[in-house]
Order: sequence, then C-alpha cells, then structure tokens
Amino acid sequence: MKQRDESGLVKGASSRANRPRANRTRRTRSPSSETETDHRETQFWVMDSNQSDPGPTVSPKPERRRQYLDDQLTQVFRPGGGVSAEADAMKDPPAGWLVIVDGPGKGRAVEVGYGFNWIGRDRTERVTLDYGDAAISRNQHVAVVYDAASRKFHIQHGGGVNLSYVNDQPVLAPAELKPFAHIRIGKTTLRFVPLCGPDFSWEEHPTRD
Amino acid sequence: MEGMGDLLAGEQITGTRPYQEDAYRIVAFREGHADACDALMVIADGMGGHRGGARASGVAVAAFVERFARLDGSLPDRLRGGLEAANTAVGQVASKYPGLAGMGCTLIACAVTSNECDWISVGDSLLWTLDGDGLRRLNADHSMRPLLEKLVAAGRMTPEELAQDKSVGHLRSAVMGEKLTLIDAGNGPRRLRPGDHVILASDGLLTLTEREIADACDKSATASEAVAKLLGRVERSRRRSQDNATVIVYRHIRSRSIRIRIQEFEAPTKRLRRSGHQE
Repeated sequence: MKQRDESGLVKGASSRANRPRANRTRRTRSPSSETETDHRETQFWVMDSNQSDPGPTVSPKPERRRQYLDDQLTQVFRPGGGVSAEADAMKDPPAGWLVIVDGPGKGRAVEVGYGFNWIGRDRTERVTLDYGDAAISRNQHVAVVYDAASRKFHIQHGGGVNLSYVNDQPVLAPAELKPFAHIRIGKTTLRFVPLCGPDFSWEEHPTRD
Repeated sequence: MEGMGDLLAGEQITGTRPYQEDAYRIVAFREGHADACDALMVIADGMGGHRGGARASGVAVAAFVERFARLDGSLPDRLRGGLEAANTAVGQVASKYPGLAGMGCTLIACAVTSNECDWISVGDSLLWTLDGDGLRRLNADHSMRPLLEKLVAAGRMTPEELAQDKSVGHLRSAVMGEKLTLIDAGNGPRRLRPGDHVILASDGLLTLTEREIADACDKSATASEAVAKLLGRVERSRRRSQDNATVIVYRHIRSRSIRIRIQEFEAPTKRLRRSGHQE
C-alpha cells in the first residue's frame, strides 16, 4: 500500500486520485429546508467502508462461502453452554447434563462435557450456575468429571469451604457419580442426567465430512 | 472533503481472509445544532466464518450512526442509544433471514468534541489514545484472553497452555441482537489536548505491537498518513494468516478544528452560489 499525502486543504471535488482506494468519500450537502429536529442533515462529511449499505430491506444473496480455516472462525463464548459456532458444536460435545430440580433456576439445565467440568457461579467456569444462589462458590465449588476411557463420571470437591452433597452424603473424596444422582450445592439441587456411558459414546459416532 | 484527511482518516485491508467483514464509518458534524459532537468514528468487526458476518458489521455501523445522529442529549446517552439501535438492527435482519441466524459483530464507537472524547465498546475491537505519555488502551477486551491471562497470573494455567488455547479469541459479548452481556463505556469523557491521537481499530491491527502503532502515529504529519503507515506495516509483515484490519486515526489539533475545516470548505461554495444569483 502506497503512502498517500492528503495534507493540505483541497477544496472542491477535484483530486479524486488522492482518495483512499477502498473508500468513497461522500459529501452530504444539507438542503435549505434543514430543521433542528432532523439531525441527520448535520452529517457533513462521511467516509466509510466500501460495503454497500446492507439495509434490512435488501434480501441476502445466496452466499457461496469460501473455506474458512478453524482459527479464522470467530466464536462466541456462552457461559455454561460451551461455545457457539455453526460448524463447531462437536468441539465440545455434551457428555451429560445437570438439571436444576430445586432452588434458584429450577427447570434449567447446564451441559457437562468431556474431562473436568468445574462448577461455580463465575462466568469463567466451564459450567456456570448463576441463577441467584449466592451459596454456590464463584469458582471451583465442585467438579463433575467424565472419563471417556472408562466411560464413567466422577465428582470431586473443589477444595473450598463450601461442601457438596451427593444423595445427601457429603463429597469429601473423589467418587464415582452414578446416573441420576442428586447433587446439592448451596441451596440448589441438581439431577445428573448422563448422555455418555456404557451404551453411548461420541467416539462411536465419528463426524462425517 | 479531502482536506479533512490530516485530522480524520480511515482505511481497511482484507488480509488473507476471503472476505472483508469489517465495516467502518467516520462522520464529521456541522455546527449550528444542539449536538456538541464534532466527529463520530465507528468500527464493527463481523464475526468471521459465520454467514452474514459482513452484513452484521454493515448493518450495525449504519444503524449506530443513524441513531446517534438523530438523538439529542448527552454524549454517553447518544452512544448508548446508537449501540442499542445497532444491536436491534442486527437482530432484526438475522431473524428475518434464517440463513443469517447467529450473525454478529463487535462494535467500537468514539465521539470527539472540541476538547474531549467519549466512547462505547462491545467485543474485542480496539481504542487507544496517544499522547506525550504514550499509547493508552481505553476499552476493555471482551474476548476470553484477559480471563485466561488471569488464570496464568494465578498459576492455574501455563503461558504455553495459553498460547495453545483455542478459546483465547472467543468473544464474551457481541452485537447479535440478543441482550448485550458486556458493554464498556469507560468512566466518562476523556480530555484531549492538541497533538493527541485517537486510534480505533479492529483486532487485525494487533499484528503490530503497541510500540509500532505509537511509532507510526508519532512519525506521521497527518491522520491519513498515519493510517497508511499502520496498514502498510501490517501488510509488510506478511503473516500467513492475516485477519481483516481496519483503522481510524483522529488527530486533535486544536479546539474546533474540524468545524473550521468545514467552514473553510463551505466558504468558496457559498461565494459561488451568490455570484450565480447575481447573474
């Protein structure tokens, strides 16, 4: 890209060659019937990207997307829900769910994935439980672990002051988490619903391209 | 108005991406109205790889500028209003066309007056001021990076793991028509002194270090020269994967210099018109 020197005031519409290649410079001349209420008329000088204004009335053309590489995809992080990107749901597939059956957020479900799922109120946690139960620790209250090798779930205490209970027994050491166990943390009771296990595993369902 | 280029300029490159999904708009306002705003600068970075990334950024910028220009009131209120309009517009277009569902973009907007600037930001686009003390990043980064860097600082993650982590660039907040989870509007206007620069960019500019960015602006006499230098350096670094990059530079010369430019521009035109009437 060449450097352009646009210093110095150029009056009138001459010297088009000086204009940035990718831009169009638009002069909004205000009509004489300008009113105080219509501030749009006060836009005097506009410079913008070369996109046509894609107003809501323009119907989108059928898009022929060229291939994007993985690291070129912009993804949106969603607390508790993993990541949304159209092609990438399989990057972090569910291994099971925790359904809130009692306490704040009753009726909601959060996903647990492969490996360690730390649960806390904070958005940075892989599993965020932030439905108003302040008795849940911000970070690492408890972890639900899915081990794909043994196809079993485990539960582990987070090391903080706040305890967790499985079927009313405190979790003091890592233990296996049985299907449909009830986990109580703070004032919230979660029912554990496995997806993966002896009868199902994502490894048996390879992604077809 | 070509002479505006020493105060205000913007430009973009596509990099190695198949599409340009950044959109930007710079508007200088005429005096004589209630708004005290001299110029508004907006950049939106469409979410790459999603259908409609470029549309999201274009819709957001257009809606933002339109609403901002219409609104009365304080600068923060107008910026907030613009952002809400942008978010609503993106949501409306996305819901109208199922093929565009999930489209979104970041948005950074900065308005300058005769002696200060104010801004609003969603996502991981960038806003700096450059003064005698150097480059200062004004807006928060709504990607996962700052959180993961905290984990590194706390010893729960190694720097190597951070470098490998794919989620670093994931956005925690984006303009998608849904409730905006994170909005950064700072703590009120920031004072500008003659010689200060305001720089807006999409994250593609981060191919350069902050030192290189400051250096390019320091060594430029005009805003358009600074923009050309910055993007020229990005292109010369020839990265194998270069994201779309957009940059806007504003040079604060002296109070009301944008208004003075507009007056200088208008003066001869008016004279011409008058002589036309006499004939």
